[in-house]
Amino acid sequence: MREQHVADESAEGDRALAVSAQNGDADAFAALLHRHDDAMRGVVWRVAGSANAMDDILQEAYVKAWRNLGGFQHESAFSTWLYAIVYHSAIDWQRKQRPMTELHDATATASPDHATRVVESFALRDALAALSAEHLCVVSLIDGEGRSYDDVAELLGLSAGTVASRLHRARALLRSALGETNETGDAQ
Amino acid sequence: MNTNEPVLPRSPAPEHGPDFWARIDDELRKDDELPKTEELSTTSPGDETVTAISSRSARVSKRSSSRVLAMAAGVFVLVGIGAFALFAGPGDADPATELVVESTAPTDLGGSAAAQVPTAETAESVPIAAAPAPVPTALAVVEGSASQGDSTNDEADSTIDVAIAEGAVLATTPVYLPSDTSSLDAATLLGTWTEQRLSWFNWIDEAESCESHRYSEISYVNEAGLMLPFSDLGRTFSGAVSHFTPSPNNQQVAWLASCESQLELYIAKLLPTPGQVADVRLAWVGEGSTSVAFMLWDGSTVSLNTLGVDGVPFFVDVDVAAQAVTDSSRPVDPGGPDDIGSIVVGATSTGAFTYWNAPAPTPAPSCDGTDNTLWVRNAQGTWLQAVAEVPVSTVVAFDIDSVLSLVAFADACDGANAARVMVGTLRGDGLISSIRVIELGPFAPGSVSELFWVEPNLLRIHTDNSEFGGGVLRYDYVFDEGRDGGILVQLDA
Repeated sequence: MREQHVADESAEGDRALAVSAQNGDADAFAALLHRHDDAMRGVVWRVAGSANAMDDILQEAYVKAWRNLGGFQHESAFSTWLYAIVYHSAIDWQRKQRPMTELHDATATASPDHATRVVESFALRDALAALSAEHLCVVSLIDGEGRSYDDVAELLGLSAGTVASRLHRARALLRSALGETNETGDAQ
Repeated sequence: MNTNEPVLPRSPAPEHGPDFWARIDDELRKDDELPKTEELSTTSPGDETVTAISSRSARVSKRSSSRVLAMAAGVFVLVGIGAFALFAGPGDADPATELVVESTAPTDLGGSAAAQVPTAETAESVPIAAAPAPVPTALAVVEGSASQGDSTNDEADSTIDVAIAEGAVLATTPVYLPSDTSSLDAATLLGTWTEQRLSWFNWIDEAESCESHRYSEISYVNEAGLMLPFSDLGRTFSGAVSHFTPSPNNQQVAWLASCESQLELYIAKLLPTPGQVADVRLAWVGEGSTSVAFMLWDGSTVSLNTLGVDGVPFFVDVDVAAQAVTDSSRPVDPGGPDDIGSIVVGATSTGAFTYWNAPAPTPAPSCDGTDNTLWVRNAQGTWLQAVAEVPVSTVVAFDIDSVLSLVAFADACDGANAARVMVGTLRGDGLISSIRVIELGPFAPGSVSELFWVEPNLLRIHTDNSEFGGGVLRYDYVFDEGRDGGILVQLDA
């Protein structure tokens, strides 16, 4: 009865669900996943770049979390614990990817407008891929998903100050990377 | 452009595919038995049991000559003492010098055991991910307690009195692996803290040269398989970390970071928080061998013993309580300062320049009431005052960004200057010029206790607020382009 689990949205509710899940209640665990899935998708989406890859990464991470749930000691928020597993799964996936297709392959048959959009989209994706995982998560969740600093701080187990610092840095790096791309493009 | 504007367009993640949750449900139902907490307490989530011998250890073994191995093994037999009752790991004793006993027979770990003593050639180290079956049992052999044997165990062997040295690598010592074991490709096991159920690892960025201060970092993995930073995020080292040797009695831990023959001995405070450290200090810099090195704690002193590049043995004792170093290999430099501060302040990653506190030749205004200033010693033993542009007192924190040749340091000052940081450029002769002083005083009331470069434009600063009844507060100083300004972000509430 998943609906019953969704009622209590507090951290205490997370704790109760996690305890039930640790006792083998798969419904309780599924309810926890539903609670935090939006945030986890927000993290993985920017890394994966496609809905299919996002689903694959999250499926692997969620199953891994379920199998390792016995090790969750309730010393952190459940979302922080889950995030760590999702984060490592996403980064692992990213490491295994081959270099992306060259831009000219993707744009060779496209119209000028479409090609421009594709180039911009690829440039942003390249810039995002160049960010460290820590920066990527923060900028994805705050700028990409519209989440608050406090939300992200709680999710990542950081202070709000660290979140602010990382966001500032991530934006600067993105701005720099996109600026360099444009300059390169202009030069050509 | 406002630098605080988002660059990334708002674009929420897409919904899952139609069968995503059905697949998750299937997976959850598939696992009839959930792992119990007790089962996870001694093994990693990946259910892998391996000996605490690392892939880096294997590389070290290959580099070592049999002569050096034999010599080192002899040293270990004679010493035969570890001060690491609670710890086990290759950092405690270089695996190239371990006496590894492989036995398929049941082993009485509490006393005598069937054992064979391998030759240097058979003392092979095993990569982390390649767990052998059966798992080898490692025993340290007390002097005269065992003889060279063949590959079989017999009744006579089983009567040999073999004691387990404290810190020996045992098959029963668990290794806590990350949930994502593929990340171990670039990792080296440093040791396991059995009582706290965690293992420390050194992760190496193969894209960097070992001279880069971003070459490697240390993390720990807890029993849940979560990988956590052992210090501040961004705290990295030039060189591979080895000989990670904790001392719970002193609440200290020491380790080596090595790049080619360059050795850096670090010491840090072991925090009550499991696995984490604070107050990371470079205590000694020199040249020597890691493959024959060993470290052990004796009271508040940690001793490093190894061979120099000339093959001559030497030792370094660092008394943490007294902040004193005894270095049996240290040359006496003619023309150098009379009274060198015992602890090295910092060093370039190649070891070409080391930095020290020592009295200034001409007493100058100093804000800490001493005559100390910062000196640089080059590899030829020539000493110079490192900073000429501004008066510098006793330096308490120092770090070099080897990529951009930037140096950041803080000296001990009172009052309004208690929290000031200086940033300069490292010149080819080791001097530091183009000094810029960053006054943190209005924002950071404590005194600077530690600093390091996280990125070329980001300096992490720790301040000690104990005089105000507080603890350590951390700040990030983010430089603007051109380094004319920057913003200070407080990381701790």
